[in-house]
Amino acid sequence: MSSAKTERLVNLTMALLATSRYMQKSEIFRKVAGYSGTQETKERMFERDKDDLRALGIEIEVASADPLFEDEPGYRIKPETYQMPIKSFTPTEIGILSTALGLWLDSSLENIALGAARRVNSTAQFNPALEISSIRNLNLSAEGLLDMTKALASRSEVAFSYRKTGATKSDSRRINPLGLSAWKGKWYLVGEDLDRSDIRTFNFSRITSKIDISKKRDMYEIPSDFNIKDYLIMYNAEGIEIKARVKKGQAEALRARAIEVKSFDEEWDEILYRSESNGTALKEALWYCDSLIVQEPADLRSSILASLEQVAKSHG
Amino acid sequence: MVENAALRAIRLLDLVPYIVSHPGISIAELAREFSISRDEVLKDLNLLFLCGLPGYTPLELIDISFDEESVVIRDPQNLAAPRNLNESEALIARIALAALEDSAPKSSAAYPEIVALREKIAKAFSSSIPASAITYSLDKERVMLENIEGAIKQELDLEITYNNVTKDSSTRRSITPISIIAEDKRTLVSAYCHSAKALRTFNLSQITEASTIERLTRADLERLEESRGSSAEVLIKEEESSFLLENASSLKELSNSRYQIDIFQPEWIVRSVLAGADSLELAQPIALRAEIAERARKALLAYKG
Repeated sequence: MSSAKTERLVNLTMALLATSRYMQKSEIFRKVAGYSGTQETKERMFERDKDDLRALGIEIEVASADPLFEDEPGYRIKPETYQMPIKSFTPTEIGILSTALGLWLDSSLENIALGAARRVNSTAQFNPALEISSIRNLNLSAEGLLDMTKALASRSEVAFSYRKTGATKSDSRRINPLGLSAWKGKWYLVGEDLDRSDIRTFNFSRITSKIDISKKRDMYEIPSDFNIKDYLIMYNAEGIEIKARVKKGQAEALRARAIEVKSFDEEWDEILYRSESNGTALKEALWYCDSLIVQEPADLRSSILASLEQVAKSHG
Repeated sequence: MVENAALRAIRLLDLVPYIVSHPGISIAELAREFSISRDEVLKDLNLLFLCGLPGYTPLELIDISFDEESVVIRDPQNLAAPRNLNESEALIARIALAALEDSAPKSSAAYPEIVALREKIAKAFSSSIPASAITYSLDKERVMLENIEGAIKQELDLEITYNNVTKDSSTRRSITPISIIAEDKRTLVSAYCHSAKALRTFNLSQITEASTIERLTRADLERLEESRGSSAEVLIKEEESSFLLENASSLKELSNSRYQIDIFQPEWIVRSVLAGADSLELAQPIALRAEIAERARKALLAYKG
């Protein structure tokens, strides 16, 4: 391992961070320790150093050093982008952030989280104790999540093979990731499908290949009003109101969320409840089978009847 | 790919503010915190000695002193503040905060702080990804769920405390858990309730306590018992079947649209296939197929009667 290069990178970072005006290459070569050799060697060194620092997330600003003559570009690192904006966070907030990053322990994102947590904890003071008993077992990670977060963070196109539910073969997709959602332990990517020119949802567990992340950054923009929930079926069911008869002592869960329950006769109660959609209501009614007899809406009642006929026929 | 030298440079840049905020930290502690060996820490500290601002006189160099037990930085130059989070780090912090927000009880003191911090982080770092691009919805009752799943697999009964929202009361019951039904917004536990002597469904979020007890007997469920612990074959006729999505991890694909699933509770598969309507068909075992047809016919009679 080359200590010289490490030393030069630290010195370069410190120098660019210290300067209040843009430093031109010639000035960097003159003042920053570690640049030696021919002009061409130094240039090559500097280009690589710059790329390395940027790849590690350090923003280097480029501008013309002299506003009157657009000759040689100048470089600097702005302290406000380099330094964590610690002053805008309270010790409690730092404590929460640290706890949050700790949730990634034992996951594929552990190393990134540890690096971030170390710096968050490098702040003068924070309240480390945030006791929420339920957070211990969060299993945040999933295969592919590391790649997807990287791609989303740099707005880079991804490519992978995807097997649709029920399909026998995978097909290849090129996607601009727009957002990520975890739903009860499963991860979903919502992104622009570049071949289909449409925004689609992908279940991580159906990705059948390695995820290729383009090396280019900022290939697209995420609209500031993008809301992932608009594309996730779990968040978008419209509600319907259902009137039904329910056997006494049965369907506790329905009763628990009922709008109204009243006694109908010795055997039955009358219940009014809401479901997210016709599909969910149908499933619920079929699940309770002969303990729940839906009255209204009529179309739900007839789909239940049709489904029961179908089930009786296919299993009879 | 970033070279090792660059990764090491980043570590050096991060060591400085860490030591500044932990004055007197030992070499061993630093090694543990940065996941490197004691020798690597020593090499890093010796290299930091040589780094500084242009000029590189003792006044401009990082001033550091250390022995085995204590590392102190007397002058960090312009590296006292920790490096900002980069976009990947900010993004995973935001995902974790979304998870925290979803798991923290809304009544807890930390909850409003978490919500506010999530917004703040989204604005402070990585503002090119809007806050609404990340959602996290977790099984809040996961620990409870694992407890109940364990009882089902080990064939144990449970003594539970159940909060009945409708009745606004809390009761103790002993139940034989049959199955867990994961719906979009809640999880239900289907069980035989020994207090009510009938099949009941419990909302997982309303079970406040559960402890396992030896299994009690249930005469009216015995006819299904033979199928317990066996496996079933299910035909899934729709691509987007929710049964397929919800049970993806326990389904084994036999051939196109034909799947095998282990059944711990026959009642569960019977109800699931009924609920799946025309998207599902139970092929095996025959006894449960007949049970499904029988129940569907009973329900049809109830509808028409």
